[in-house]
Amino acid sequence: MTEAFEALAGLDKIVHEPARLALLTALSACRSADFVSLQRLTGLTKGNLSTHLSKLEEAGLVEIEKQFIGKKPNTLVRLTTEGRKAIEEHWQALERLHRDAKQWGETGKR
Amino acid sequence: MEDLKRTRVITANYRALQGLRLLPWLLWLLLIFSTDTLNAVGPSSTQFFSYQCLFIIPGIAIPWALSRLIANYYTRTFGQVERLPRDRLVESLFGIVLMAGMYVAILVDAQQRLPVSLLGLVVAVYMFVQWWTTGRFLSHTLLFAALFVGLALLPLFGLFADGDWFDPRRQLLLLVFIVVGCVSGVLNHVALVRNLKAAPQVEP
Repeated sequence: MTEAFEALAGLDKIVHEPARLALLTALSACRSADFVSLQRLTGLTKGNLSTHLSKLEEAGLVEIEKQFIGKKPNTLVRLTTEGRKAIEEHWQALERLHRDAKQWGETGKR
Repeated sequence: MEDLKRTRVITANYRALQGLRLLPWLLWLLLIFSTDTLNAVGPSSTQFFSYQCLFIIPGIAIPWALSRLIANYYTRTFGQVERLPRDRLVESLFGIVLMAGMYVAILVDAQQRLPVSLLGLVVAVYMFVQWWTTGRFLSHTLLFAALFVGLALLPLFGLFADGDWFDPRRQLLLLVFIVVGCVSGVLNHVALVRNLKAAPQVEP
């Protein structure tokens, strides 16, 4: 079980924060998503979403592109190669932990 | 974790779940098919005005304009998500296979007079695959797949057994297909709205 705790402690905090994990999970299922769709998918306020996206951009996990569609500003977000790799590895680590925790629970019952 | 998996499925199928997009085209088809079918199968004293002359060529502008309005509504309210190139390719190939399958099924149904409707079975398979690939949480899609299997088997019980797909009695089945398409579109839209979070207006 020590290994599981070590794995838990080793999770990337930038990725593991719930709002950012939701954002990265959504972005991993598409090529790009705009600000409005990310707000609807995660339920974050504009301010919160901007803050989390800035942190992810600073960590090099997402690319943010500001553009105009007609006269309206539009913010487009996409995962970088590093970001895609980070979220995939994070999900694998979470699933491994989930499996280990289940096994541990079953052993404890016996 | 389940919530995050659902977020992933919703994002991957963001456009497919915008079910109102196809509604103007389906209603347009319904209008074209229904008047002639009702004229053919209804009592001879009741004749419905045939909208075909109005809607086939010049009428294309109406569903086109309506679908543009609906697309603008979706972009404004739900934003835009661009699919992964791999998903887009798979969806295009699936669309081509479905169209080809439906075309072949209509031809076989018309010429071979099979005891079951091949078209119904093709649509049922399409609905089942759609249910499977969208994370198995759109239960209405599975229900419609079962309904289409039922519809496909109707000729086996003597219903709609005579005549081919170009016969008005069989066209009634096509009408059911279109109506189910409309209902499915509305339910997809409801599923999208229910699974998205309300846009917060005020900062906490």
